[in-house]
Amino acid sequence: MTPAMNITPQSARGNPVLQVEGLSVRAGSGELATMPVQDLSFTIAAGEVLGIVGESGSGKSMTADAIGSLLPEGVTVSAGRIVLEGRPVLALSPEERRALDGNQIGMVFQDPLSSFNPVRTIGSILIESAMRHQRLSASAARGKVIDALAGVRLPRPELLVDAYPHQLSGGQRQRAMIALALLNEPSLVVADEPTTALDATVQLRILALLKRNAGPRALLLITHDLAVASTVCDRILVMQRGRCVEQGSTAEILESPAHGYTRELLAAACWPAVPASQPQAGAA
Amino acid sequence: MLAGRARQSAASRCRVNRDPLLEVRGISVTLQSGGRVVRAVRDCTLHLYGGEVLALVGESGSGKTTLARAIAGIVPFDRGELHFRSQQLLAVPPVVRRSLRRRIQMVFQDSDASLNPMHRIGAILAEPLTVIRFGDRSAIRDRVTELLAMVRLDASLIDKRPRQLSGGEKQRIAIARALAMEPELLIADEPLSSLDVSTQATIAALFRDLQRRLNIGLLFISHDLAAVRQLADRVAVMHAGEIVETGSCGAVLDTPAHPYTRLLLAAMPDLRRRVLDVHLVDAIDRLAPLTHQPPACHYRPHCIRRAEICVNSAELAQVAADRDHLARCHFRDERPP
Repeated sequence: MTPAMNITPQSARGNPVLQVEGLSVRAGSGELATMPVQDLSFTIAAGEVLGIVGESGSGKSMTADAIGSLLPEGVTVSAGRIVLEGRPVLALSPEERRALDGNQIGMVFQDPLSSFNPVRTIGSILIESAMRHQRLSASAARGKVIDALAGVRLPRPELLVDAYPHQLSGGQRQRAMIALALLNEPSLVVADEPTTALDATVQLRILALLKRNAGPRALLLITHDLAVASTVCDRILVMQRGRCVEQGSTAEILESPAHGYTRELLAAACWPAVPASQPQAGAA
Repeated sequence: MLAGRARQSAASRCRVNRDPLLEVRGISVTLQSGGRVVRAVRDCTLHLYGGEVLALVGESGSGKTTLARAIAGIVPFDRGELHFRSQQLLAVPPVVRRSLRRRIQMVFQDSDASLNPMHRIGAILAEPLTVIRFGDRSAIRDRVTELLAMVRLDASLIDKRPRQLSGGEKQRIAIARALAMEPELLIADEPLSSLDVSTQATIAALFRDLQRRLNIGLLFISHDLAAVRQLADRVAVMHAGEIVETGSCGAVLDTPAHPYTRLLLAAMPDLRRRVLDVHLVDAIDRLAPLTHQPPACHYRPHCIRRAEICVNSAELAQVAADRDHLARCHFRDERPP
């Protein structure tokens, strides 16, 4: 489809679960067309966490949507390959691609309130997914879903299974979303700004949960927050205006950023950490 | 533009006026939520001087937004007193109260919800000016241009609609609209939370600049201690409807005395730490909401330091030599939360 692309150096962790090669995404057509993603290449191995960091408009969410076959109407992949466990995703039929969602790819979004159907209980959404992808009976699926809700440390899962999305707190909804994403044991989990709307304390719990429960899977974390990425990611890819400006291990990116834009992001993420210049009053 | 700005000494600029601009004395707010009665704010006392930034921090549900809304007059409080410019707001005639309240303006988190999408920016900014009978059309037009300049926006935006603007630009419009009333007190409820990191830094800098230039008192509500450190002169930390610690920004954030403050600080993502602290996650897990509030110290069930004394009393008390640094905790050690 495209000439040979520069592939990211393979991590030593395990086999590549996801390979993205020379991915370009086009929005609109004709003279008004824009390229939200241009010539993007990376891989994620089993058990590895890759963070894609950039500001809004950098193309990071479009990348996640392209991988999840969730691009909005009028937006298409114009070049490149997305290979998931050896299968070229873009060559699959629409039905086969839909089957990937929830089965081989688990998606977690920023706002679960708008992702969950408000008139359906949390349980019915998860049970349907388990029945469809795992061919379970309704009662077997219900048991599996209660286990999954317990697995993301939701309190009283046997009651919560019958609750509606709006009856949960923001942090609880995000846990339920993670339970749904992991329910059918996908090989890849894509989390797009999963903690952006949450308190720092809740954010930390959700990040810990994602990292722990993703376990041997490949995890792609999309975030605008370099500090969040540095908390859980093995490697970080920095995007600006649709392009990758640099990628490397978390230590490399934080300690010796090669690109000016990465240094700007680092400075922005550090602005808060500037210590107060006043003498420390009341120190014991 | 992205670079961090060093904090400048704040103490010198504050308290030029002898009396505080705002005094909140023992305010309690009770809310009805789904048939349940929730004591969202309990006996909160704080003060704010003109030209000073006081940050109100805490998690969602800690009562900080409810307290701010009570101060702004959006929700009623059932106990306590509210003094603004040394006048008790509920004790003055309604006409005086209205003119005082005009000097208290609010900026919200979601500028999308607070700006009418059908109106052009010019009309959005002209509306409050018409309400206060600012002047004729040309005077209003001049003032709108002036307000846009104050928030560093180009006058050409007048004919645009909110959806044509970026998130940062919309928040600047919301700030400009609040400034139209020439407020002495600006209450900003999570004004940075829906913005990009780099935009957050520039809006924070704008708040700082405006507040200094116009000598406005700013009550800044945020769960983001990073932004608080950049912006605030003093900090009040809320937990379960109560203020558990208050003091200068440096004292509270650098030498926190309450275990809840220490926990909030530890939970901040930090580029220097780079690992998930399992013990910290456990400590946060213990913060799960309680079905009933225990007497005296409300943090006691979450606290590893709790003792007999915490069942009987938990008053705000001076932490050390610093008379302004108060904490609702009997213990003065620096243990992890």
